[in-house]
Amino acid sequence: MLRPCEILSEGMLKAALRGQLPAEGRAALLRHLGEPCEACLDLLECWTTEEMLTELHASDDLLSWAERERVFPTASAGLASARPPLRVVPPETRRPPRLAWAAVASAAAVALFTLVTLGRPWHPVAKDVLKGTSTPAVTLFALAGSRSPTPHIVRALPAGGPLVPGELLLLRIRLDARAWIYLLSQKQGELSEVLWPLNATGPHEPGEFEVAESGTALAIDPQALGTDARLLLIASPKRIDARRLQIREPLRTRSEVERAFPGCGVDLLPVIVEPER
Amino acid sequence: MISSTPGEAEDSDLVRSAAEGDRAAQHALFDRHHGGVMGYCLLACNGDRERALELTQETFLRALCSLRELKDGDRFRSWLFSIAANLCRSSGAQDARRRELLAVAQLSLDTGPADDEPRERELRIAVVQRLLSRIEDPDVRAVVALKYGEPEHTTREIAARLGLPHGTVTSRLVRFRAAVKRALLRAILEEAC
Repeated sequence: MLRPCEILSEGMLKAALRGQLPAEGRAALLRHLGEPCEACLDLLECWTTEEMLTELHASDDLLSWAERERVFPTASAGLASARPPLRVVPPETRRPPRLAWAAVASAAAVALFTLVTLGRPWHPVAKDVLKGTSTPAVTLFALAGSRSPTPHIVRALPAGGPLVPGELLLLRIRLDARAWIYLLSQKQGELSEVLWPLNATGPHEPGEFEVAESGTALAIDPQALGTDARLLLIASPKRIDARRLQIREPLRTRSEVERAFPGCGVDLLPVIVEPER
Repeated sequence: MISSTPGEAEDSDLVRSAAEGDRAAQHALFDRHHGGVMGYCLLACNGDRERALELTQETFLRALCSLRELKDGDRFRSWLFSIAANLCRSSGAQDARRRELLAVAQLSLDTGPADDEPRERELRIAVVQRLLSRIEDPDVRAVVALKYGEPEHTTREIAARLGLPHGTVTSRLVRFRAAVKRALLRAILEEAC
Protein backbone atom coordinates (compact mmCIF):
# COMPACT_ATOMS: atom_id res chain seq x y z
CA MET A 1 0.00 0.00 0.00
CA LEU A 2 1.44 3.35 -1.00
CA ARG A 3 1.75 5.98 1.66
CA PRO A 4 0.39 9.23 0.28
CA CYS A 5 2.39 12.42 0.49
CA GLU A 6 1.12 14.76 3.15
CA ILE A 7 1.69 17.80 0.97
CA LEU A 8 1.24 16.78 -2.66
CA SER A 9 -2.11 15.08 -3.12
CA GLU A 10 -3.77 14.58 -6.50
CA GLY A 11 -6.08 17.51 -5.80
CA MET A 12 -3.12 19.67 -4.82
CA LEU A 13 -1.30 18.70 -7.99
CA LYS A 14 -4.25 19.66 -10.20
CA ALA A 15 -4.75 22.93 -8.34
CA ALA A 16 -1.05 23.72 -8.63
CA LEU A 17 -1.00 23.08 -12.37
CA ARG A 18 -4.17 25.06 -12.90
CA GLY A 19 -2.74 28.00 -10.99
CA GLN A 20 -5.47 27.74 -8.36
CA LEU A 21 -3.29 27.52 -5.28
CA PRO A 22 -3.23 30.48 -2.92
CA ALA A 23 0.16 32.12 -2.50
CA GLU A 24 0.93 30.47 0.82
CA GLY A 25 -0.09 27.04 -0.46
CA ARG A 26 2.11 27.49 -3.49
CA ALA A 27 5.04 28.58 -1.31
CA ALA A 28 4.59 25.55 0.92
CA LEU A 29 4.47 23.25 -2.06
CA LEU A 30 7.56 24.83 -3.56
CA ARG A 31 9.44 24.30 -0.32
CA HIS A 32 8.35 20.68 -0.27
CA LEU A 33 9.39 20.12 -3.87
CA GLY A 34 12.87 21.25 -2.93
CA GLU A 35 13.22 18.23 -0.65
CA PRO A 36 13.27 14.52 -1.50
CA CYS A 37 9.93 12.72 -1.13
CA GLU A 38 9.34 9.16 -2.28
CA ALA A 39 5.58 9.47 -1.74
CA CYS A 40 5.48 12.33 -4.27
CA LEU A 41 7.15 10.03 -6.76
CA ASP A 42 4.54 7.35 -6.12
CA LEU A 43 1.86 9.86 -7.09
CA LEU A 44 3.71 11.22 -10.10
CA GLU A 45 4.42 7.76 -11.48
CA CYS A 46 0.68 7.59 -12.12
CA TRP A 47 0.63 10.82 -14.08
CA THR A 48 1.86 11.27 -17.62
CA THR A 49 3.60 14.44 -18.62
CA GLU A 50 0.89 15.02 -21.22
CA GLU A 51 -1.71 14.97 -18.47
CA MET A 52 0.28 17.51 -16.55
CA LEU A 53 0.59 19.71 -19.62
CA THR A 54 -3.12 19.57 -20.36
CA GLU A 55 -3.94 20.39 -16.73
CA LEU A 56 -1.51 23.26 -16.91
CA HIS A 57 -3.56 25.10 -19.48
CA ALA A 58 -7.16 26.10 -19.27
CA SER A 59 -9.39 23.90 -21.38
CA ASP A 60 -10.20 26.97 -23.48
CA ASP A 61 -6.55 27.11 -24.49
CA LEU A 62 -6.49 23.58 -25.81
CA LEU A 63 -7.93 22.70 -29.18
CA SER A 64 -11.63 23.25 -29.54
CA TRP A 65 -13.73 20.78 -31.46
CA ALA A 66 -13.84 23.16 -34.43
CA GLU A 67 -10.08 23.59 -34.36
CA ARG A 68 -9.57 19.86 -34.25
CA GLU A 69 -11.82 19.53 -37.28
CA ARG A 70 -9.69 22.10 -39.06
CA VAL A 71 -6.25 20.96 -37.94
CA PHE A 72 -6.58 17.25 -38.53
CA PRO A 73 -7.53 17.37 -42.25
CA THR A 74 -4.66 19.76 -42.91
CA ALA A 75 -2.21 17.68 -40.95
CA SER A 76 -3.28 14.43 -42.55
CA ALA A 77 -3.26 15.78 -46.09
CA GLY A 78 0.19 14.39 -46.62
CA LEU A 79 -0.99 10.82 -46.35
CA ALA A 80 -4.07 11.23 -48.46
CA SER A 81 -3.76 8.85 -51.32
CA ALA A 82 -6.73 10.21 -53.23
CA ARG A 83 -5.04 13.54 -53.88
CA PRO A 84 -4.69 14.36 -57.59
CA PRO A 85 -1.24 13.43 -58.77
CA LEU A 86 1.26 16.08 -59.63
CA ARG A 87 2.56 16.10 -63.12
CA VAL A 88 5.12 18.02 -65.03
CA VAL A 89 3.43 20.43 -67.35
CA PRO A 90 4.38 19.55 -70.88
CA PRO A 91 5.82 22.44 -72.86
CA GLU A 92 2.89 22.78 -75.21
CA THR A 93 0.46 23.33 -72.36
CA ARG A 94 2.75 25.08 -69.96
CA ARG A 95 1.63 28.53 -69.05
CA PRO A 96 4.27 31.16 -69.53
CA PRO A 97 5.76 32.20 -66.23
CA ARG A 98 4.44 35.57 -65.25
CA LEU A 99 6.50 36.13 -62.20
CA ALA A 100 10.06 35.47 -61.53
CA TRP A 101 11.41 32.13 -60.63
CA ALA A 102 14.70 31.75 -59.25
CA ALA A 103 17.52 29.95 -57.83
CA VAL A 104 17.39 29.43 -54.18
CA ALA A 105 16.68 31.10 -51.04
CA SER A 106 19.21 30.01 -48.54
CA ALA A 107 18.25 27.05 -46.42
CA ALA A 108 18.52 28.83 -43.15
CA ALA A 109 16.86 32.00 -44.29
CA VAL A 110 13.55 30.59 -45.24
CA ALA A 111 13.31 27.52 -43.18
CA LEU A 112 9.95 25.88 -43.26
CA PHE A 113 8.61 22.78 -41.87
CA THR A 114 6.22 20.86 -43.93
CA LEU A 115 6.58 17.93 -46.08
CA VAL A 116 3.88 16.08 -47.77
CA THR A 117 3.98 12.83 -49.58
CA LEU A 118 1.90 12.89 -52.69
CA GLY A 119 0.51 10.15 -54.77
CA ARG A 120 2.48 11.08 -57.79
CA PRO A 121 3.03 8.31 -60.27
CA TRP A 122 6.46 7.09 -61.16
CA HIS A 123 7.81 8.24 -64.47
CA PRO A 124 9.31 5.41 -66.44
CA VAL A 125 12.85 6.13 -67.46
CA ALA A 126 15.11 4.63 -70.03
CA LYS A 127 17.01 1.69 -68.57
CA ASP A 128 20.51 0.50 -69.13
CA VAL A 129 21.76 3.58 -70.81
CA LEU A 130 25.04 2.87 -69.13
CA LYS A 131 26.11 -0.71 -69.41
CA GLY A 132 26.42 -2.47 -66.11
CA THR A 133 24.40 0.08 -64.19
CA SER A 134 20.68 0.49 -63.85
CA THR A 135 19.06 3.86 -64.08
CA PRO A 136 17.63 5.03 -60.77
CA ALA A 137 14.06 6.26 -60.86
CA VAL A 138 13.51 9.58 -59.18
CA THR A 139 10.48 11.80 -58.65
CA LEU A 140 10.20 15.35 -57.44
CA PHE A 141 7.18 16.43 -55.40
CA ALA A 142 6.28 20.09 -55.06
CA LEU A 143 4.46 21.71 -52.17
CA ALA A 144 3.49 25.27 -51.45
CA GLY A 145 4.11 26.85 -48.08
CA SER A 146 3.16 30.16 -46.61
CA ARG A 147 5.46 32.08 -44.35
CA SER A 148 3.07 34.51 -42.76
CA PRO A 149 2.82 35.12 -39.85
CA THR A 150 5.04 32.12 -39.34
CA PRO A 151 5.33 29.32 -41.87
CA HIS A 152 2.30 27.21 -41.25
CA ILE A 153 0.15 26.24 -44.22
CA VAL A 154 1.16 23.80 -46.86
CA ARG A 155 -0.73 22.48 -49.80
CA ALA A 156 0.20 20.17 -52.58
CA LEU A 157 0.51 21.97 -55.85
CA PRO A 158 -2.26 20.62 -58.04
CA ALA A 159 -1.28 19.22 -61.37
CA GLY A 160 0.62 21.94 -63.17
CA GLY A 161 -0.80 24.47 -60.79
CA PRO A 162 0.77 27.79 -60.01
CA LEU A 163 2.06 29.15 -56.76
CA VAL A 164 0.26 32.12 -55.31
CA PRO A 165 2.43 35.22 -54.88
CA GLY A 166 4.15 35.06 -51.54
CA GLU A 167 4.12 31.29 -51.34
CA LEU A 168 7.29 29.31 -50.94
CA LEU A 169 8.15 26.10 -52.71
CA LEU A 170 9.13 23.00 -50.77
CA LEU A 171 10.29 19.80 -52.33
CA ARG A 172 10.35 16.15 -51.60
CA ILE A 173 12.13 13.43 -53.51
CA ARG A 174 11.41 9.76 -54.05
CA LEU A 175 14.34 7.64 -55.12
CA ASP A 176 14.27 3.91 -55.87
CA ALA A 177 17.98 3.15 -55.75
CA ARG A 178 21.15 4.49 -54.20
CA ALA A 179 22.29 7.43 -56.31
CA TRP A 180 23.98 10.77 -56.36
CA ILE A 181 21.29 13.42 -56.29
CA TYR A 182 21.50 16.85 -57.87
CA LEU A 183 18.73 19.41 -57.83
CA LEU A 184 19.41 22.11 -60.38
CA SER A 185 17.70 25.28 -61.44
CA GLN A 186 17.84 26.53 -64.94
CA LYS A 187 16.52 29.66 -66.54
CA GLN A 188 16.63 31.16 -69.97
CA GLY A 189 20.09 32.01 -71.23
CA GLU A 190 21.95 31.11 -68.06
CA LEU A 191 23.95 28.14 -66.90
CA SER A 192 22.07 25.70 -64.72
CA GLU A 193 23.22 25.73 -61.12
CA VAL A 194 23.07 23.28 -58.26
CA LEU A 195 20.48 24.19 -55.65
CA TRP A 196 20.85 21.15 -53.48
CA PRO A 197 22.70 19.52 -51.93
CA LEU A 198 25.19 22.30 -51.42
CA ASN A 199 28.00 19.89 -50.59
CA ALA A 200 27.25 16.38 -51.75
CA THR A 201 29.51 13.94 -49.95
CA GLY A 202 28.11 10.69 -51.23
CA PRO A 203 25.23 8.93 -52.89
CA HIS A 204 21.81 9.14 -51.30
CA GLU A 205 20.10 6.07 -49.96
CA PRO A 206 16.83 5.07 -51.65
CA GLY A 207 13.58 6.19 -50.11
CA GLU A 208 11.49 9.26 -49.83
CA PHE A 209 13.01 12.33 -48.25
CA GLU A 210 12.72 16.04 -48.00
CA VAL A 211 15.00 18.54 -49.63
CA ALA A 212 16.62 19.85 -46.49
CA GLU A 213 19.90 21.09 -45.10
CA SER A 214 20.95 20.25 -41.56
CA GLY A 215 17.55 18.85 -40.81
CA THR A 216 15.73 21.99 -41.90
CA ALA A 217 13.44 21.89 -44.88
CA LEU A 218 14.68 24.02 -47.74
CA ALA A 219 12.21 26.51 -49.11
CA ILE A 220 12.63 28.15 -52.46
CA ASP A 221 11.45 31.72 -52.78
CA PRO A 222 10.10 32.15 -56.31
CA GLN A 223 10.32 35.93 -56.00
CA ALA A 224 14.07 35.58 -55.86
CA LEU A 225 14.23 33.55 -59.06
CA GLY A 226 14.51 34.66 -62.61
CA THR A 227 11.89 34.15 -65.28
CA ASP A 228 11.16 30.91 -67.06
CA ALA A 229 13.05 28.82 -64.55
CA ARG A 230 12.78 25.09 -64.16
CA LEU A 231 13.93 22.68 -61.53
CA LEU A 232 15.83 19.66 -62.78
CA LEU A 233 16.36 16.63 -60.61
CA ILE A 234 19.15 14.27 -61.55
CA ALA A 235 19.80 10.88 -59.91
CA SER A 236 23.06 9.44 -61.09
CA PRO A 237 24.66 6.08 -60.25
CA LYS A 238 28.00 7.90 -60.38
CA ARG A 239 29.21 11.25 -59.17
CA ILE A 240 28.79 13.97 -61.77
CA ASP A 241 31.49 16.55 -62.21
CA ALA A 242 30.33 20.05 -61.27
CA ARG A 243 31.10 21.39 -64.74
CA ARG A 244 28.82 18.80 -66.32
CA LEU A 245 25.99 20.13 -64.23
CA GLN A 246 26.31 23.55 -65.80
CA ILE A 247 24.12 23.40 -68.86
CA ARG A 248 23.33 26.45 -70.93
CA GLU A 249 21.07 24.79 -73.47
CA PRO A 250 17.46 25.11 -72.25
CA LEU A 251 16.10 21.77 -71.05
CA ARG A 252 12.35 22.01 -71.28
CA THR A 253 11.25 18.39 -71.42
CA ARG A 254 12.13 15.22 -69.58
CA SER A 255 13.57 13.70 -72.71
CA GLU A 256 15.87 16.70 -73.15
CA VAL A 257 17.06 16.30 -69.56
CA GLU A 258 17.56 12.57 -70.08
CA ARG A 259 19.63 13.24 -73.16
CA ALA A 260 21.74 15.76 -71.25
CA PHE A 261 22.32 13.26 -68.45
CA PRO A 262 22.44 9.81 -70.00
CA GLY A 263 22.19 6.93 -67.55
CA CYS A 264 20.55 9.11 -64.93
CA GLY A 265 17.05 9.17 -63.55
CA VAL A 266 15.60 12.62 -64.06
CA ASP A 267 12.59 14.73 -63.27
CA LEU A 268 11.65 18.21 -64.34
CA LEU A 269 9.45 20.76 -62.67
CA PRO A 270 8.60 24.09 -64.20
CA VAL A 271 6.83 26.16 -61.59
CA ILE A 272 4.46 28.99 -62.26
CA VAL A 273 3.48 31.87 -60.06
CA GLU A 274 0.10 33.50 -60.38
CA PRO A 275 0.23 37.19 -61.28
CA GLU A 276 -0.33 39.58 -58.42
CA ARG A 277 -3.68 41.26 -58.42
CA MET B 1 -6.40 11.15 -20.43
CA ILE B 2 -3.61 10.15 -22.66
CA SER B 3 -2.59 6.71 -21.63
CA SER B 4 -4.20 3.82 -23.38
CA THR B 5 -6.62 1.60 -21.53
CA PRO B 6 -7.36 -2.08 -22.09
CA GLY B 7 -9.20 -2.47 -25.37
CA GLU B 8 -7.62 0.61 -26.89
CA ALA B 9 -5.19 0.10 -29.72
CA GLU B 10 -1.54 0.66 -28.94
CA ASP B 11 0.24 3.51 -30.66
CA SER B 12 2.34 1.03 -32.59
CA ASP B 13 -0.76 -0.60 -34.10
CA LEU B 14 -2.23 2.76 -34.99
CA VAL B 15 1.03 3.91 -36.51
CA ARG B 16 1.19 0.86 -38.72
CA SER B 17 -2.37 1.33 -39.96
CA ALA B 18 -2.02 5.09 -40.28
CA ALA B 19 1.10 4.74 -42.39
CA GLU B 20 -0.86 2.53 -44.75
CA GLY B 21 -3.44 5.26 -45.18
CA ASP B 22 -6.01 4.23 -42.57
CA ARG B 23 -7.67 7.55 -41.84
CA ALA B 24 -9.38 6.31 -38.69
CA ALA B 25 -6.00 5.31 -37.27
CA GLN B 26 -4.56 8.71 -38.18
CA HIS B 27 -7.46 10.35 -36.45
CA ALA B 28 -7.03 8.16 -33.38
CA LEU B 29 -3.37 9.15 -33.10
CA PHE B 30 -4.31 12.78 -33.47
CA ASP B 31 -7.11 12.51 -30.89
CA ARG B 32 -4.84 10.74 -28.45
CA HIS B 33 -1.97 13.21 -28.58
CA HIS B 34 -3.20 16.62 -29.69
CA GLY B 35 -3.85 17.76 -26.11
CA GLY B 36 -0.35 16.98 -24.94
CA VAL B 37 1.26 18.49 -28.02
CA MET B 38 -0.81 21.66 -27.75
CA GLY B 39 0.02 21.80 -24.04
CA TYR B 40 3.72 21.49 -24.79
CA CYS B 41 3.54 24.14 -27.51
CA LEU B 42 1.68 26.49 -25.17
CA LEU B 43 4.41 25.96 -22.60
CA ALA B 44 7.09 26.64 -25.21
CA CYS B 45 5.31 29.74 -26.52
CA ASN B 46 4.62 31.16 -23.09
CA GLY B 47 0.88 30.85 -23.62
CA ASP B 48 0.73 32.43 -27.08
CA ARG B 49 -2.24 30.42 -28.24
CA GLU B 50 -2.20 31.29 -31.93
CA ARG B 51 1.41 30.36 -32.24
CA ALA B 52 0.93 27.18 -30.27
CA LEU B 53 -1.94 26.22 -32.54
CA GLU B 54 0.21 26.71 -35.63
CA LEU B 55 3.01 24.68 -34.11
CA THR B 56 0.62 21.91 -33.14
CA GLN B 57 -0.68 21.73 -36.67
CA GLU B 58 2.83 21.70 -38.07
CA THR B 59 3.84 18.99 -35.64
CA PHE B 60 1.08 16.65 -36.78
CA LEU B 61 1.55 17.56 -40.41
CA ARG B 62 5.19 16.63 -40.24
CA ALA B 63 4.58 13.56 -38.14
CA LEU B 64 1.80 12.12 -40.30
CA CYS B 65 3.74 12.82 -43.46
CA SER B 66 6.77 11.01 -42.10
CA LEU B 67 5.04 8.08 -40.45
CA ARG B 68 6.54 5.60 -42.87
CA GLU B 69 10.00 6.67 -41.73
CA LEU B 70 9.25 5.79 -38.12
CA LYS B 71 10.84 2.41 -37.61
CA ASP B 72 9.50 1.67 -34.13
CA GLY B 73 5.83 2.52 -33.69
CA ASP B 74 6.19 2.21 -29.93
CA ARG B 75 8.34 5.31 -30.08
CA PHE B 76 5.62 7.38 -31.75
CA ARG B 77 4.86 9.48 -28.70
CA SER B 78 8.42 10.56 -27.94
CA TRP B 79 9.09 10.97 -31.67
CA LEU B 80 6.04 13.21 -31.98
CA PHE B 81 7.18 15.37 -29.09
CA SER B 82 10.67 15.54 -30.57
CA ILE B 83 9.13 17.06 -33.66
CA ALA B 84 7.14 19.51 -31.55
CA ALA B 85 10.24 20.41 -29.54
CA ASN B 86 12.32 21.01 -32.65
CA LEU B 87 9.63 23.17 -34.21
CA CYS B 88 9.17 25.17 -31.03
CA ARG B 89 12.90 25.62 -30.69
CA SER B 90 13.32 26.89 -34.23
CA SER B 91 10.22 29.06 -34.18
CA GLY B 92 11.57 31.70 -31.87
CA ALA B 93 14.00 32.74 -29.22
CA GLN B 94 13.51 31.41 -25.72
CA ASP B 95 15.20 32.79 -22.67
CA ALA B 96 17.48 30.63 -20.55
CA ARG B 97 14.85 29.92 -17.93
CA ARG B 98 12.30 28.72 -20.46
CA ARG B 99 14.89 26.62 -22.27
CA GLU B 100 15.62 24.88 -19.01
CA LEU B 101 11.93 24.40 -18.31
CA LEU B 102 11.50 22.87 -21.74
CA ALA B 103 14.57 20.69 -21.27
CA VAL B 104 12.95 19.25 -18.13
CA ALA B 105 9.66 18.77 -20.00
CA GLN B 106 11.44 16.97 -22.84
CA LEU B 107 13.26 14.73 -20.42
CA SER B 108 9.95 13.96 -18.78
CA LEU B 109 8.46 13.15 -22.17
CA ASP B 110 11.42 10.89 -22.96
CA THR B 111 12.25 13.10 -25.90
CA GLY B 112 15.88 13.57 -26.81
CA PRO B 113 17.49 16.82 -27.85
CA ALA B 114 18.17 17.40 -31.54
CA ASP B 115 21.50 15.88 -32.51
CA ASP B 116 22.60 19.08 -34.17
CA GLU B 117 21.93 21.19 -31.10
CA PRO B 118 24.94 20.82 -28.80
CA ARG B 119 23.64 23.57 -26.53
CA GLU B 120 20.43 21.63 -25.97
CA ARG B 121 22.38 18.46 -25.31
CA GLU B 122 24.57 20.23 -22.75
CA LEU B 123 21.51 21.66 -21.08
CA ARG B 124 19.92 18.24 -20.88
CA ILE B 125 23.03 16.70 -19.35
CA ALA B 126 23.10 19.51 -16.78
CA VAL B 127 19.44 18.90 -15.92
CA VAL B 128 20.01 15.17 -15.54
CA GLN B 129 23.04 15.72 -13.33
CA ARG B 130 21.14 18.12 -11.13
CA LEU B 131 18.29 15.65 -10.76
CA LEU B 132 20.70 12.79 -10.14
CA SER B 133 22.27 14.69 -7.26
CA ARG B 134 18.91 14.56 -5.50
CA ILE B 135 18.34 10.85 -6.01
CA GLU B 136 19.58 8.74 -3.16
CA ASP B 137 18.88 5.28 -4.54
CA PRO B 138 22.19 4.07 -6.08
CA ASP B 139 20.38 1.51 -8.25
CA VAL B 140 18.32 4.21 -9.92
CA ARG B 141 21.38 6.45 -10.25
CA ALA B 142 23.33 3.71 -12.05
CA VAL B 143 20.59 3.16 -14.60
CA VAL B 144 20.03 6.87 -15.20
CA ALA B 145 23.73 7.58 -15.59
CA LEU B 146 23.91 5.06 -18.43
CA LYS B 147 20.61 6.05 -19.99
CA TYR B 148 21.39 9.76 -20.24
CA GLY B 149 25.17 9.75 -20.19
CA GLU B 150 27.59 10.08 -23.07
CA PRO B 151 27.00 7.95 -25.01
CA GLU B 152 23.37 7.28 -24.23
CA HIS B 153 22.40 3.63 -23.82
CA THR B 154 19.20 1.83 -24.66
CA THR B 155 17.36 0.06 -21.89
CA ARG B 156 18.41 -3.30 -23.31
CA GLU B 157 22.06 -2.23 -23.35
CA ILE B 158 21.76 -1.05 -19.76
CA ALA B 159 20.17 -4.32 -18.72
CA ALA B 160 23.00 -6.27 -20.34
CA ARG B 161 25.68 -4.07 -18.89
CA LEU B 162 24.34 -4.08 -15.33
CA GLY B 163 23.17 -7.68 -15.46
CA LEU B 164 19.59 -6.71 -14.66
CA PRO B 165 16.29 -7.88 -16.08
CA HIS B 166 15.00 -5.44 -18.67
CA GLY B 167 11.87 -4.81 -16.60
CA THR B 168 13.99 -3.71 -13.65
CA VAL B 169 15.75 -1.16 -15.81
CA THR B 170 12.51 0.26 -17.16
CA SER B 171 10.91 0.42 -13.70
CA ARG B 172 13.91 2.37 -12.39
CA LEU B 173 13.59 4.75 -15.30
CA VAL B 174 9.90 5.16 -14.52
CA ARG B 175 10.96 6.17 -11.01
CA PHE B 176 13.46 8.64 -12.38
CA ARG B 177 10.88 10.13 -14.72
CA ALA B 178 8.59 10.64 -11.75
CA ALA B 179 11.39 12.68 -10.25
CA VAL B 180 11.66 14.60 -13.50
CA LYS B 181 7.92 15.33 -13.40
CA ARG B 182 8.35 16.58 -9.87
CA ALA B 183 11.11 18.88 -11.10
CA LEU B 184 8.85 20.00 -13.92
CA LEU B 185 6.11 20.87 -11.46
CA ARG B 186 8.56 22.84 -9.41
CA ALA B 187 9.85 24.72 -12.46
CA ILE B 188 6.31 25.56 -13.51
CA LEU B 189 5.46 26.88 -10.07
CA GLU B 190 8.65 28.89 -9.88
CA GLU B 191 7.94 30.46 -13.22
CA ALA B 192 4.45 31.39 -12.14
CA CYS B 193 5.83 33.25 -9.11
